[in-house]
Amino acid sequence: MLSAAERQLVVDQALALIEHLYVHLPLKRAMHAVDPLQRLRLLKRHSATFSEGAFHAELISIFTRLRDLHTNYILPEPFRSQTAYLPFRIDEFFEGNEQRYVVTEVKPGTEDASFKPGIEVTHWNGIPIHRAVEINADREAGSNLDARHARGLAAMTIRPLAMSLPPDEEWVVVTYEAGSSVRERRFEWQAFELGPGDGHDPIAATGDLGFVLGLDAKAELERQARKLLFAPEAVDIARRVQQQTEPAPSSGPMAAAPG
Amino acid sequence: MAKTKSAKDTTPAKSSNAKTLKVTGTTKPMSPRERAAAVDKNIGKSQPLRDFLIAAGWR
Repeated sequence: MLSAAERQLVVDQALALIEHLYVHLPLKRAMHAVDPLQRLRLLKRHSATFSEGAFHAELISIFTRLRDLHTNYILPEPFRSQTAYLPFRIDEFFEGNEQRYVVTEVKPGTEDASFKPGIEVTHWNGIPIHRAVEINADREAGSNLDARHARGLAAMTIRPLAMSLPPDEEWVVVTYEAGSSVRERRFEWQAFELGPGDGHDPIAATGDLGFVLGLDAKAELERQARKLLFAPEAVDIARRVQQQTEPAPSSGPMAAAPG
Repeated sequence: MAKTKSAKDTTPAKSSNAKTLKVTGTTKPMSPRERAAAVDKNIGKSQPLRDFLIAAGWR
């Protein structure tokens, strides 16, 4: 857990970054009606009264509402290397102008006779699925509505805790159509640690690489998690190739990109 | 005089750090049980998110 001094340091660094270095601040203020500096000043004043989770949640929210995928607050361990997940993935499709949502992948061992890829999800904890995705999208950093929607949809079932708020709910009841019947199934949110050999850690890049790297780090962490959860054959191939090309084992919780 | 590569020589030029990859084994389809076991092995110890957040002091 962060000490009081560490919390002050984190907030001071965020203030310095956004007030003195962040060139997009006037644009972001105009586009999204946000005031991250005032929120940071208030957080600095009251940080001692915040729980550990509330402190991190406020910082994530401040940075998320900049709506900038390349300006992030990255949590320390033990959150940094953890990924929260539900054992399936949903995607959307259109029928006419209507957005609909379908399960596209299920973690091996979780399928049953009716819950499998191809079923259509109608509700999420009793909320119509489209509205549930909209609510989730507002917690994401995309700079426009479509980008936020895409990020919100991805975060319905996978959230790298390094950069995401954990879900408020501890479980999800999914209502879905299987053939002509409507069914429900309950899933508890789980967490696992991205370990060595699971891919380069996109938030560990430093030096010249860190300076030029322009990828969406959270999307990359989600991609790595999806691969581990749903594509064991691909993981197997990647590890065999890695064994031939990188004989030296990586160290640390995640293999750091060369810096 | 340095030897130059003729137009008929189709041997690919090798750089000093070129490395030959030899793919060993085959990629056979996994059974459902094998896939489930492989995923569990890949993600390691999984725990309820609630337990993790309480242990980490978030909640």
